[in-house]
Amino acid sequence: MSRRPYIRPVSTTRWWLSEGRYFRYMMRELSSLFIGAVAILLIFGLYRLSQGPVAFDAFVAALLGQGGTAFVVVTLFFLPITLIPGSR
Amino acid sequence: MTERTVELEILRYDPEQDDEPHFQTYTVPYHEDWVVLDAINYIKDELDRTLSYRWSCHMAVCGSCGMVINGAPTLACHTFLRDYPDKIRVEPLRNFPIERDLIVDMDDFIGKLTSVKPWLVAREERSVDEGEYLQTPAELAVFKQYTACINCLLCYSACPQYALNEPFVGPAALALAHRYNLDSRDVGRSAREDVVASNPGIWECSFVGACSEVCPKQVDPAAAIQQAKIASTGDYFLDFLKPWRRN
Repeated sequence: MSRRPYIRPVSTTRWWLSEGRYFRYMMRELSSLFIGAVAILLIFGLYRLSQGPVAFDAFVAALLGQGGTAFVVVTLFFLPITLIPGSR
Repeated sequence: MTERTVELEILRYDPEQDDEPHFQTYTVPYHEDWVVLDAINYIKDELDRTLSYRWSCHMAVCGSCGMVINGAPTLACHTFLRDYPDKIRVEPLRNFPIERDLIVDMDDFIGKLTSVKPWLVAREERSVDEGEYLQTPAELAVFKQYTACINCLLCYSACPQYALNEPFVGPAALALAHRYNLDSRDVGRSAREDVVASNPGIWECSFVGACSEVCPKQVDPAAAIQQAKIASTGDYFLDFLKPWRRN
């Protein structure tokens, strides 16, 4: 009797879409980009604060603008993903 | 009244006849107290004696009957029919070559398991007459969780890193290496280091955590690997500060 093991193909590009837990893992990894961006934003905010109230008010106003709001909304989207059991 | 039945779709592969696996459907009687393994045994006994699969203890101790049941790596003896719909899909463990039907080729795992020296490397060998290597309950508690591994390979079947990166040593072998590294009677940590602390060892684990989710014995291999990463990082810096410490 001869051995002829069958090797099932694995998609190297779509594997993370095959199961919920893999998808949550990839979202968790993606969230690190936004966490990094928030950290840089906060450091930049401190820098603007050090430049005085006018500079800081301009920073806060920019944050409340369309771009800043969109950024915060997208960042918040990742929060529940990291809180789901099994995604850590 | 007609008897309630369940349909089992089983992935079949005969290396002497088939070019690739295909599903075959069997209808088996439903029993409230049957696990999926009972249904597979029924098929083997009553419907199709060519069906090949591994099993032994029927009580989640031997680790032989790991299969993918409705997409999830599970022990067939640990999964009741009553928890599934009337159609159940049974496949061999993922990420391993299929030898025949539900039997996979485990050689790669056995090689990796052996490479981490999963046994007690004692400071000095003792004869049986000299008695046991003693240990306190507190010393045992440090690693006891990791001794529960039954090598069922569900963790390898769930691990996408192992699926995509064959050299990866994998969850169970690394958890067992960690189990011996934590053992107060063991001095084999540096002997295991070449495999465990290498890239294909702990460092290629990207912490998906699927291994711990599917583990039927709550071993938590993902935790073992992350703890081993911390210990290995400590070693790296200590070697800089105290280069003489290993001599």
